[in-house]
Amino acid sequence: MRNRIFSAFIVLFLSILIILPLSITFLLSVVPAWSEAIPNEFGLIWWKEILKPIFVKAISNTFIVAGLSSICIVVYGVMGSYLFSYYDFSGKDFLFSMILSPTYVSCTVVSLGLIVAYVPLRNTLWMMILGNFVIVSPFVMKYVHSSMSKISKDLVEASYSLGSSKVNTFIKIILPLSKHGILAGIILSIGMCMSALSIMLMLYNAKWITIPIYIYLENTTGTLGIAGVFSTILIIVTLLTVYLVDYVS
Amino acid sequence: MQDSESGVKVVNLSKSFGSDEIIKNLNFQVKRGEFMTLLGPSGCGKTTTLRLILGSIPPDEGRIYFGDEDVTDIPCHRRNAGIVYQNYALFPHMTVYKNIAFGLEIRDVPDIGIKVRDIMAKMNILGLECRYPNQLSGGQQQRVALARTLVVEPRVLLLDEPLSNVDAKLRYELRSEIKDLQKSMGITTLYVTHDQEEALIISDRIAIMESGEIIEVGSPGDLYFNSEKEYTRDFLGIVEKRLENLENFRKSAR
Amino acid sequence: MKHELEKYGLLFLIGIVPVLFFLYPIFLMMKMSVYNEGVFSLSNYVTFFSSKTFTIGLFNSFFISTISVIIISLMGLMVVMSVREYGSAKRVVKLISSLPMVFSSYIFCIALIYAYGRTGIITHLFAKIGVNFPIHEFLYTKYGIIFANSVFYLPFFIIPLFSSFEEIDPNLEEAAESLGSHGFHKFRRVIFPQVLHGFITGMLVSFLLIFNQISIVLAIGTGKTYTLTYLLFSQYERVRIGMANTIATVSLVSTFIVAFMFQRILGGIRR
Repeated sequence: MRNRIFSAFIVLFLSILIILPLSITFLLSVVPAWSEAIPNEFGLIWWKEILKPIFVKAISNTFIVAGLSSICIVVYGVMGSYLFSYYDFSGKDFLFSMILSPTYVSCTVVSLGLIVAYVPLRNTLWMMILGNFVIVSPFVMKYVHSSMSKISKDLVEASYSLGSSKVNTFIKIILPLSKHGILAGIILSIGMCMSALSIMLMLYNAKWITIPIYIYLENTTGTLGIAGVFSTILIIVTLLTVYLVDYVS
Repeated sequence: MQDSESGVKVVNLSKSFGSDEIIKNLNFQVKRGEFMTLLGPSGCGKTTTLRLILGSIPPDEGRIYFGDEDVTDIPCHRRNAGIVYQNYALFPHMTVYKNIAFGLEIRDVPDIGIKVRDIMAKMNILGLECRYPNQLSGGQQQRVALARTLVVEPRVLLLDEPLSNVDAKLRYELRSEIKDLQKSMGITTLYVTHDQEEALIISDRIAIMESGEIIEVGSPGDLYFNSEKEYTRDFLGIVEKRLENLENFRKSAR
Repeated sequence: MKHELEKYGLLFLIGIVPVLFFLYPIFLMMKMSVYNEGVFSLSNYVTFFSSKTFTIGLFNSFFISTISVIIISLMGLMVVMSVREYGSAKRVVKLISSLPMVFSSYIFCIALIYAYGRTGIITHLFAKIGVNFPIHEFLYTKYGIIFANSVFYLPFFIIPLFSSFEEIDPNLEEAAESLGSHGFHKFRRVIFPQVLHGFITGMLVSFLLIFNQISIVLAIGTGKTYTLTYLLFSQYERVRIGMANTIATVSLVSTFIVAFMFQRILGGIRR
């Protein structure tokens, strides 16, 4: 009985700690002018503001960058998982560790490396996509690989024995059976790319400003209502992402 | 039966998980020092009964007695009932010696080393002290599990299909070892299995269980030759019933 | 023959990516940090280690990460231990914990400021009943960063820890109880040794995540608290690429040493 109360307390504590800040970002979007500690005036003026072309552009930028990056990330993830699940070669473990190694390293370090190594690409859309790619693909690769490697080898063998080519087997058998992992990878990739700030900080292009970058820039000049709106949108998209990943896996 | 002769008594025991009624109004007794088997198909509630007696789950209704003492409200770690599992449940991060000494260390008894060596000698596993469970065969692991449970001299010994994961040849060996040990130590024992042959050979008495209820209780001889209950005869695969089934099959195939 | 061609073709395609876009850039950065105007020299490192700013940054990175990890592992263990037996509570905790995982830490920190800052909602509410809710006093110092890190990265630790606990053979606990073990004794001798591996791995992952992140420092550091990642960023903004490379190298070497130490510890733990 005592344990039950304690665990309920823990849940409450955790909720307040984590959910409270999230709800505040929503509040930010519905307060016209947040001057005192506790706002008493509410209004939707910020939400109307985002319909202005500059913000619409920021939103579409975010989706475009995240989308393009995710295409590269997921294709690479699927190809890499196929390689690791169905081929044997010396140095396999080493290669896998190498692919996962960006997760051990700071986004700033990765960004600086890319900037230093590929000078002509500095501050272009391609650099942004590249940065997303290098940092997010290890995570997606892990998800897809764990899903693909669970497919029984017998099924693939049976497919070959029935005369199916490698490509046909891949499309008709392997891809559908690893659907869960791939879907989770897509959602994870889009989610991470959309909310990425540290990746974009050093790599962004002024014409392709995404929502997180805009929020960062605006924070230093003060109009937080917009930031609140964008944050709320991000939260909703994130929640949907999480819910979908949970539903799928 | 007088209470001082009783080893374990279960009175009006009921247990549900959610809307599933696993055990309904269970009543039976195991005599002191007796080897009783709970025999029944998977899902009939025998493992749940065992865990209720062990004390790891509380009953919804009913009382449990060890001898004269009502132990229903005593928590598992103070009830002193020992249990041996199908999958051995040895602590993988401890050596064989540490596994067996575990219960003795808690009770803070003197001469732990001597007691451990004694039981290991009885179970024929001397020399394995420093090995880890994953370095042992299935049969060796089960012997260690038995040693660990018996060394603390529990009031009641509970065995949950302990021989199902052991290979056939070893099963016969271990079976008679368990029986001999039980007799010499005189511990009240409740054995759970779905294997009719095993139950008939090893038990003093058998309780046939189905869907959370006891159908019949009796000695192996009684049940095999004199049972009137359809279910018992069917489950024990009694010769006449087998012949009857065969005859019915022949008729339907004509 | 065709199979071999396919295999090595695919291997090349996949393998060239980390080499081109990760290994080569890192190698280049490290090389550039030991060259000053075309000559091999350690002058950048001399500058780094003799500068108060940079050494404080290095110290802060380690300090913040270590303290945060200690807080996270203790709190995480407590949360998991107290909820793991109650299905509904466990589900709620898992759900709440998955929120920060795909979320932006920067926005999270803005929210923390609005909640616990000097003019924050919570601070204000508590002030109204006469209590000084103390978080606002240290929110903008490195202790505030530790606080924000602990809250944000706690879920990253909890989720894998749940998996570790779920892998324990349930019969083991029952067997331990039947032998008389209970409460803290059971935790210390039976349960915790089983999850030790996952626990320490979680500590390593959290440490690296916190050591390497920058958004939180940007959000509440107010430019006065330096960490390695923040210094790297600010040096880059001032186009001091040489120093930026040096900081990057120091950061890389630090994470490598920490990861190596942890792997040694993990290797010594019996599964």
